[in-house]
Amino acid sequence: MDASIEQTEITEKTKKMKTVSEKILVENLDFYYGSARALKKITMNIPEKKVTALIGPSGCGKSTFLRTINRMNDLIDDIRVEGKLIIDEQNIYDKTIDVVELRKKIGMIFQKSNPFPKSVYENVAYGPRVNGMFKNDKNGLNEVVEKSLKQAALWDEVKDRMNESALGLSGGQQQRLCIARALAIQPEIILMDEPASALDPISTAKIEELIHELKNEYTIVIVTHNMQQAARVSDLTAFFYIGELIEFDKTSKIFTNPSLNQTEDYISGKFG
Amino acid sequence: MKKLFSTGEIFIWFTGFGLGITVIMIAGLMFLILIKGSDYYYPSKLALVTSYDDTKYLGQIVRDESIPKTNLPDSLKDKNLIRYNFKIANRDIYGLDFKWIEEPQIKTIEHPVSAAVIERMEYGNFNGYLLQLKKNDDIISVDEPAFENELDKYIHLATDYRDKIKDLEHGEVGKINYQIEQKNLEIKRIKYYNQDNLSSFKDKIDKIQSEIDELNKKYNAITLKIDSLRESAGQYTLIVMTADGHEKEIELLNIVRVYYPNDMSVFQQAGFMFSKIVEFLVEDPRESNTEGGVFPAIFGTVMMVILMSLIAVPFGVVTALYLREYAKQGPVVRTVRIAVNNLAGVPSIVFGMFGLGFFIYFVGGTIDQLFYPETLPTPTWGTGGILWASLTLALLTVPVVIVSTEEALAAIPRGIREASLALGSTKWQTIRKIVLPAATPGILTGVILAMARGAGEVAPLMITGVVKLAPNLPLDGNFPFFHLDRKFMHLGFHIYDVGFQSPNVEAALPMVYMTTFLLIAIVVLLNISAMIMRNKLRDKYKASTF
Repeated sequence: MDASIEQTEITEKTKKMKTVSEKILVENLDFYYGSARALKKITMNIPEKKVTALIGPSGCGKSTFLRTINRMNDLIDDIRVEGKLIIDEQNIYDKTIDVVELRKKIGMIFQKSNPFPKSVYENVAYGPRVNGMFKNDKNGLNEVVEKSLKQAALWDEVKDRMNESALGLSGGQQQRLCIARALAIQPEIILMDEPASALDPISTAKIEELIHELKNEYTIVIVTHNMQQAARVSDLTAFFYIGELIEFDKTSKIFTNPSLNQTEDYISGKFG
Repeated sequence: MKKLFSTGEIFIWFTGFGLGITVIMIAGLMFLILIKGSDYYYPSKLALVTSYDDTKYLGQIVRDESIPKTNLPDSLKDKNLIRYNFKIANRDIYGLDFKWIEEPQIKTIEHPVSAAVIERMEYGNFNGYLLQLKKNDDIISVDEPAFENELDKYIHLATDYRDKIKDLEHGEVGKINYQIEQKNLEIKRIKYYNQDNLSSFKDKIDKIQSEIDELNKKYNAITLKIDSLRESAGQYTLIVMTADGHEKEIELLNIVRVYYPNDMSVFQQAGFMFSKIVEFLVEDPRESNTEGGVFPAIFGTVMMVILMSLIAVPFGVVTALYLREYAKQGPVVRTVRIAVNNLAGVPSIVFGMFGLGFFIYFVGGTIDQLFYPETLPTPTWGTGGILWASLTLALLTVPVVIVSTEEALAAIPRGIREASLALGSTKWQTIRKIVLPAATPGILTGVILAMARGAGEVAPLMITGVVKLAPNLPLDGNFPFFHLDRKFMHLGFHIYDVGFQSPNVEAALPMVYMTTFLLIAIVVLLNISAMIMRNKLRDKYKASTF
């Protein structure tokens, strides 16, 4: 009896510890497209409820790395992963892991906004529906949709056109709709793959503001080509180069006083 | 000239020329068919031809052509002489519907106002003059002012009688025949399965036999009723005369309509055309398909196309889904894809042979042996029928559906699939809720192509279940309503049969053209409705744009 209580206490403690520390632990992660090695021995710990930016020149593997976190790369034929990627104490590349369950706790925003050809409401409600949430609870679903749209700062713009096609929204609105859609499944982690690269400055500013808001509740990993954006929104920054993690540190340090010349060269625009 | 080439303007002309030719060809084809079919629905003038030897013929000029020079004596060789093809009708008197008359033989051509065409249920049209309307001993002569009204009245009456008789024959008699057939089969079945102890089933058989006797009594009663209807309709007759003075008495029951083509106003002509077109669409064929309507063929064609689509579309879509979404792309899948594409190019008669050998002889024959051994050697399913024909055509059209569905699936942006999967939906949920709805317009394109091909196909149907005259529709009021083992009529085969197999091809030509027009119209109609559906969906799922 005592032992079990003690046991629960310990797990509670470790859980608490985890909440203030790492959410995603990466250990010696290798990734191959066929025989081409795209990621080389990546080891990094991504902290919870912080924004981590991944930067680096095109083809350096940052997007590939982002997509290994929710196993999106599984869609590609002939890939291979070695090493460990641990989320909530589970290696997600374990044979026993249910990918669908894993993806339910990780939201993802893509480079090109990709709303479904459905109404605004149906777009946001899609995730909860396929996950079997609010099966016979129309009000609950409505609330989640409203809450997600509010979180994504889109509610005021679309509340009167919930049943219109999402494809009628502007580019920036579509991207925020995609964020709302990802939030509706109540994820723990949000992955963003250059979410603002196709948007105008005003829409970009809105998205960045949103990231600031969201980091209080979610662990965010963002890939960006825009140095200023990385500097503005992130707490930590990881610099990737040709499949390797060159430097990973606090954003303030990376941008002001990087420990490696390579990083400095890239940030200051000498190459890349 | 150089400038023309360098600006590329000449290629606009070139491509426009291609489009123009196509449009002209399509429009020209439809126009030609309508013109050639006009003898069916347009009341052409009746010409009274008197020749030098004083024989007279009353008929419509169907065609004229110059007489070949080799047939003429030397004295006439330099003159351009014409001969006319007259539709003189009155098959029961002259034996032939048509007669060639050469220009030099003709003394006069007139268009007498009182000349009438009488459309009959049998022996084709009668061209001549009306003399008297007879009801038993009541005689109304054509000179009396009441004649027109009385004629109309009695023709309506006769039509009512005819409809009643037809309803009885098709409705109740058909039903009783069907029941008797079923009961006989039941007896056969009992006898077949209980050969060893037949005696113990004697009561049952006797009971069914008595039911059959009961039905036979009913049948006889209805036959009597029909006979009496015929008899009371038979008292109305019309006495008519041919151009050369033959008199003839025609029962009104045998008359479809009477009209005076030389004395019709525009409105009367329009009314006539309307009633002919309605007759064409809703009536059964008469006179070995050369007259009347083509309703059973329309029904058979549409039902066959629908059945075919119901089989081919789900099958094709599911196959394409596996090929595109689940199968690992590689040499095997590529080979399958090439095979499917080639299947679309296999001559249709080959599919017909396959349908005959596999569906009818193998599947149908096996069903007969297992479930209907009592009726053998008379086949139940082991013979052509609408189900087998639809299955054969489904095989023929499924490659079209597969190819277009695959194209549609490939065109769905990768982004929305990934978005769906990233939200924690399974692959099947993604396919069902995102991919399939967005691919529907493309899939419908395939369905349109498949339906158009299926509706126009004739060769494979000829050996898998189409007949020139089917006594019953494959859908009727007798349980189980859908009789998928029945043979059926088809517009494409109807064209072939009426145009090339009919005993009286010349008379049937307008019918052939009309049927052709109708078949094209049905295909166009099916296509347009599917296109409207597709465009509506396309608006709904139009690609996301910035």
